[in-house]
Amino acid sequence: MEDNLLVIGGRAFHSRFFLGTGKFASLSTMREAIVASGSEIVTVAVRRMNPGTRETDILDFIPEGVTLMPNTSGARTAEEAVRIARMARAAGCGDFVKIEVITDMVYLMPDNTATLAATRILAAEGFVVLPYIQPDPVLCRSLEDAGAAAVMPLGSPIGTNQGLLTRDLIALIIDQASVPVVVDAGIGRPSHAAEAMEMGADAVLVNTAVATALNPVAAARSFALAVEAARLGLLAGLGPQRHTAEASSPLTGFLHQVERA
Amino acid sequence: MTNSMLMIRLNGEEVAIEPGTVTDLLKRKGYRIERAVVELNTLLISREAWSRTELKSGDCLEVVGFVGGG
Repeated sequence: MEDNLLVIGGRAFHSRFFLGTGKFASLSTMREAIVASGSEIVTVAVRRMNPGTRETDILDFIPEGVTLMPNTSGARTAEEAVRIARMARAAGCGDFVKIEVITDMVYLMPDNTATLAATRILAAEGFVVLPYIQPDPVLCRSLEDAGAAAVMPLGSPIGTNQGLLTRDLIALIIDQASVPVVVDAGIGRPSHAAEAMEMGADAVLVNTAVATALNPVAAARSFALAVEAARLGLLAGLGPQRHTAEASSPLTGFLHQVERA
Repeated sequence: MTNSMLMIRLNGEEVAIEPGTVTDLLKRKGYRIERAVVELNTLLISREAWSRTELKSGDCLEVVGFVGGG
């Protein structure tokens, strides 16, 4: 289905399910979960390397062909986000970056103002910028003007599994955005992911719910199926909801009917 | 510590190192250099420049890489 391709930064993706790579018990489980999810975009974080240890490197566990989207987690200002993004690009794994600027350490709400500033700078430097934001439809227009390749409004606070607490605002963003809308954070169940996709979101990003499940590989698959099912349902043009019933079976030919000559 | 040692800040920590280039330091410390990204005094230095960049006392070096994250 040609119109089911997701295009971001000039690249086309079949999968609309992005997976985060944090919190997995092991890198091999993470790899299996990525494969099971069919995800073509996965996030990673940038951190100081530890010397002297022959640590296994996460890049060795990312399947071939999957696009890396480094995040700027740890950034508290636009400047720090820009610095982290540049470091990430210097690693030679592409131009995608998820901007994440956070100073609220209780609810981990992103700083929308700083995120807009960082988006402007990084888009001008040729990055494919996906900003993680509190769902503000007006900000989304500014982000588009600043060169964002997509917008990533949060469903609920990171790691809370609460689903789409921000549903109504996300609906406004989907209605008005001219770049892809990726619902990120708080998606705790496949039904939450399906809900976002049925609303018309272009993709969803999940990390905690998959990585902390008893069986992360099965969880990854379950979210991927939910995303695909809901997307297919949307494209199928499902009928409207009704208040009163409408019979599915014919209302003629009943056995109690008496045929008259 | 001999007089020839340099004091630098490496990933936030004050350390004494032997004189040498960025490549020398990374190798001596046992970093996995094929995956490292290096920032010297808040400026990125390209991999090609590591072996010709001599460290000086007071330099501030960040060596980073990718880890799991959302």
